[in-house]
Amino acid sequence: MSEPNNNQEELVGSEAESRIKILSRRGFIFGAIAIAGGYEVLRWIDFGPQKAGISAQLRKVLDINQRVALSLFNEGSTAKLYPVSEAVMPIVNGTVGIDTPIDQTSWKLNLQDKPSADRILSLSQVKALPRTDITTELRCVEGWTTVVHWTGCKLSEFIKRYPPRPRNGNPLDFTDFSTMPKYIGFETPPPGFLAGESQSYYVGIDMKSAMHHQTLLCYAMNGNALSPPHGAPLRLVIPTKYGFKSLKRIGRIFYSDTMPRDFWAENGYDWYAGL
Amino acid sequence: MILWANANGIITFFGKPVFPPSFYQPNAPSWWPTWFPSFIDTDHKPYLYSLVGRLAEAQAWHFTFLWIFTLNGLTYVVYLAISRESKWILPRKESLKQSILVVLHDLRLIKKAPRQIGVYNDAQRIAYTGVIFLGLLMVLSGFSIYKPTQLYWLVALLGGYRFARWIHFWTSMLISLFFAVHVAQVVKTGWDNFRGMIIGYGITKRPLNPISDPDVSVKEEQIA
Repeated sequence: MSEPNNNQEELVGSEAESRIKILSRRGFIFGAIAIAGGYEVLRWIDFGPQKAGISAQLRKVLDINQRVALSLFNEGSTAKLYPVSEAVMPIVNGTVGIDTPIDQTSWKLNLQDKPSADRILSLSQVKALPRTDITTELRCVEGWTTVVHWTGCKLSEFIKRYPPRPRNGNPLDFTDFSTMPKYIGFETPPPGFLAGESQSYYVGIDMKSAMHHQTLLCYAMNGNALSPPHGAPLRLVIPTKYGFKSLKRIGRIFYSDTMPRDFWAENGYDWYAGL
Repeated sequence: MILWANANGIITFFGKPVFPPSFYQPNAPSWWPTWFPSFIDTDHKPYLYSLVGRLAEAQAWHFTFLWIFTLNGLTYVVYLAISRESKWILPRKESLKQSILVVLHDLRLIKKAPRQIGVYNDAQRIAYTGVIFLGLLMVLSGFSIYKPTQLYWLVALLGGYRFARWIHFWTSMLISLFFAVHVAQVVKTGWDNFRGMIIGYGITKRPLNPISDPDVSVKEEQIA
């Protein structure tokens, strides 16, 4: 079919026939080995050692993807905003950590930064921080999105008002992430805290995403106070990440230098989950 | 090698769809043709792996193999450019008109085969160049819906998140269609050509000296 290639040795007649036989045998043996080998590699990835609910090999790549995403994170990139009129109520997609009622009036927020003593905060202390409204998408890793109007205070304002203790003897500087803890963790009130609660829910957030100006501690949605299924009295809203990071019914917030555990990252998803 | 990797890529991405059949399809967009991943997923084929109802793993596969196939595609394009073999693939001025004749000829609607300049006919030129652009669109739309906040400019360039998602899906459908037609054509063309694709060499039958030697002889040459 193609034109003669003069750089290539040209063989004719039976010489070419025997040569092509050798090449064919070599090529097809190579192909068969490649197919069998490729299939075995896929099987090894799929059925080999597991780590946090997923193949250990795939987990390695998710960790690399996370490192790439973290290093390229741009504080100026923002989740798309929508007019308030487009806001609707999202479905309740998960009740882990909130499947029993709590006494909303006696709720307290526990802020930890070990080894410092815990700080116990009330809802009115959170509400005293500057109010912020944002209408943006709640984007679920399962593939659906809903536009929601959230009301609360910026998590960055909360962190500035109730800061972590200084790290490594350096004074705290909110514009320099090397002086701050690397992570901030959130947990629902623990199962022991509430009779009948089967399981708590927990997420970990990197400090850059936590300090992003669209990240809120939220106490109202679509103009009304949060309902218990949506996380009353206080929930996290982080539009720069998938919805499973926006933990409902915060019981405890803690500063941490090690990566906090994360419910869905323990069940096969990537920990960073950034958009 | 690149051909092998691409064929495997189509099987991997659809064998492990981001919206695996049955469980997650209610969350797929309304225009998502559910039969397609169901048809190609390995749900009822126990000799292959299956990801039905395993969304986290399906996504992990997707976000792992995207690097391999993006690099694979880049390698292919760079190779075409450096080796100048792109000259066999890029459409000519007459390609659009000629390609219609090629298709009509393939469908046995016209008898006379259109003249072919070089390795590939004009329909092939359009298809092989088109699939490169489909691949490019697929990679761009894929990254835009993977990180829509960080890559907001790319999302905007592609006409918004919903449309980028739509592009990503339809490019995958069209590339699969290309793959299906391609395989059908390979089958039709026969063994010598298939062997050439696999081992990288082929033989051509032609008279060594058309005037003095009417016998058809055999010659080896390298194919693209």
